Amino acid sequence: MNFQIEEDRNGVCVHMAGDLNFAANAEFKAVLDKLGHVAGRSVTFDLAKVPHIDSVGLGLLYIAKEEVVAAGTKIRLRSPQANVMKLLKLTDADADFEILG
Amino acid sequence: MLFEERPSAARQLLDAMKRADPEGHIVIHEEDLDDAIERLTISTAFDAAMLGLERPDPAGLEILARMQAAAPDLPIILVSSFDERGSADRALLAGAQDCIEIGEAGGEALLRALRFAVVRRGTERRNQAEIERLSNGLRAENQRIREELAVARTAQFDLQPSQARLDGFLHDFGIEVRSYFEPSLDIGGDLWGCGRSWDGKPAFYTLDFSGHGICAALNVFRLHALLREMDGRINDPTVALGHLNEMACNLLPPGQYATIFLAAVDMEANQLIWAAGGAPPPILFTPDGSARLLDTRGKPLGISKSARYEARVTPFPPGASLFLYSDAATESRVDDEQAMLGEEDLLLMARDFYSDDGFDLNGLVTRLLNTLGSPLEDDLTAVAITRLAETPSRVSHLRAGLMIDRRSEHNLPRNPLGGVGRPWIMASKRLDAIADGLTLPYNGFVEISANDVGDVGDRCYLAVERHGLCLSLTAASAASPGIVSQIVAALRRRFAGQRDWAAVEICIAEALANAIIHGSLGIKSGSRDLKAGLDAFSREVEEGLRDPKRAVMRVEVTVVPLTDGRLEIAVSDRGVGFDLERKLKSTVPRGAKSGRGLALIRKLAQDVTSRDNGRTLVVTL
Repeated sequence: MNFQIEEDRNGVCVHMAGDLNFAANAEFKAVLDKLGHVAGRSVTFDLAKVPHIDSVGLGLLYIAKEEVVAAGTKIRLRSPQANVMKLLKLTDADADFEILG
Repeated sequence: MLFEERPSAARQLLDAMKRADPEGHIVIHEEDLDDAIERLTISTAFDAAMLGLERPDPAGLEILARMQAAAPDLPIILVSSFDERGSADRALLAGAQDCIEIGEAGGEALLRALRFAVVRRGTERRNQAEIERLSNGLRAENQRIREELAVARTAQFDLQPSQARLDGFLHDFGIEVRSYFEPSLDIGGDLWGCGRSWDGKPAFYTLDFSGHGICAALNVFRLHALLREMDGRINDPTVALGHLNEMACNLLPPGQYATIFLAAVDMEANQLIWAAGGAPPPILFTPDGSARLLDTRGKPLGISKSARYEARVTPFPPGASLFLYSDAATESRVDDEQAMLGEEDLLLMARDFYSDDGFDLNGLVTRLLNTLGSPLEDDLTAVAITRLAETPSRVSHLRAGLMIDRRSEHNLPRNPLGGVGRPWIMASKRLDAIADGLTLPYNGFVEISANDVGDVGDRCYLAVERHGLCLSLTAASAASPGIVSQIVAALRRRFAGQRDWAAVEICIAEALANAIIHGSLGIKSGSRDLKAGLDAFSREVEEGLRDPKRAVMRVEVTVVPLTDGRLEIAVSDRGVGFDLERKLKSTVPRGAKSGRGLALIRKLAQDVTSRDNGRTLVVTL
């Protein structure tokens, strides 16, 4: 899993590439550490290049949500692939995250 | 501080001290014992205390004890009349620093005694602190050595073959091995192992290094490394021992040596071929009811480069058992007696545990431990090797019938058409060959691990027999990126048709993650619920994937097409297993950060069951 963080006035976009699963833990934690300063703005996780998310990966997104929402920040998921979207729907996560097409 | 109940005696003392040195001291005088005790308890300003007594009778010594209890670090000088014989000794024994005779209590003598007492107590305190520092250091060092020994013992124990590896390797030969190890308090130099000869015959060895402790343990590692090098190349036990002996002579300092027994089983000739260097003689049981000690005369390894070893052969038909043991069995004292059990006694004892059903190792070991008492003076290793009378099972035939295409870095793949009519599986160390292995004409991919392919699960072979696919990887390899995608891509090619492939992918991914994280690595769920837990979880995963024991545990995925068009997907691990049925029934709240994998599978699959005590999850989609 690779992450690239892009920042503008409105907030931060995290471009992710690769499977978001249990093996992505350490990298994801590093991203969370970098998001500490975006209070009040939005964080968007770009999932366009994530072919697969498993339940551990979904848990990571929930941890991120808990972290940034506590700091008054909005969280969004952008462009999930069909099977990723299926997982988000199956777990009702589509109701917990704002999902951009 | 002076405690003296008699005012005149006190005055006399104080005057004498003042005369001798008008300014070098300050004395606080107390006439009441409780006041004196209170002052001693509260104040830390005193350098010494004086106790004035008419005579040091038991009541006086009781006062001394109370003063000591109130100020344990303060030197106390007894000023009294010591005319009764031994009374001063008793006072000193009771803890007084010094005893001054009232008659001698001239000021100078008293002050000198006080000064000496203060200096002496200071030195004592420093010595005490030094002793404490040294004994703490010794305790810490002792602890460190104990811990290191424990680590060494565990590492040495890990050298012994695991039951799973043995079963995997020996099953096809119709050989069953059971082993037992009882550690002693000290660390020993025992090792046993199992390998194969150049033509694939199963080979066994036991060895025991002279001495105990770290040195013996290290030597065990040395010889184990040499034996590993020889695995697969042993063609004649005598040549092998000669070779080992030469290396041992170069490696070991004089005085260190190892006894050894090395045997190979020739399945076709129904024979056991062995060579030995002074090892405890194994006991051979044959189905005709006879039991005898095998000849193990020969020079131990590491003594002389010119040692020659003799090859010995005996019938070893199906139903025969060989019992190997370390010398703790025959050289330990029997209970409290001075006598040892001896080899002939052991032979008599062991006879009771051999029957048509094979050799009852547990029974013999229990009897042995009861006889020897505990703790043992040396590690006890006991190994029973039995040729099963029955023919190997259906899976063994399957294993034997499968063509395994072994690909290495240097080997081009063989032409799989060479095995027309027989199912092919690809075996390789290279994970980039997985996609090929999952594509026809292959029916699966098995990773060549440290245990070769001997420990690939029966489920893989049975899946191939049912026209399915199998994938057998070590936990570390199964955790590499893209494995799930490769499996699903292969399934789409092989089992084309309208299916919910996203559901298949989710089920395989969840089951595989469970098998790796919880099954192989043994990590408990719930540790990653918070950001703070992520670190710990990542560390656990990383450590687990680096752990040579857990990382090589196989994780296996098999997919079998059912007649109704559905797919039966099974994901297995080699962990301790857990109560999957209970987990399958539990519900997970929305937004949970962990523990939802099984819930997802349950939502997607038509049928979910657990097998093998929770080590296998079977999903039908």
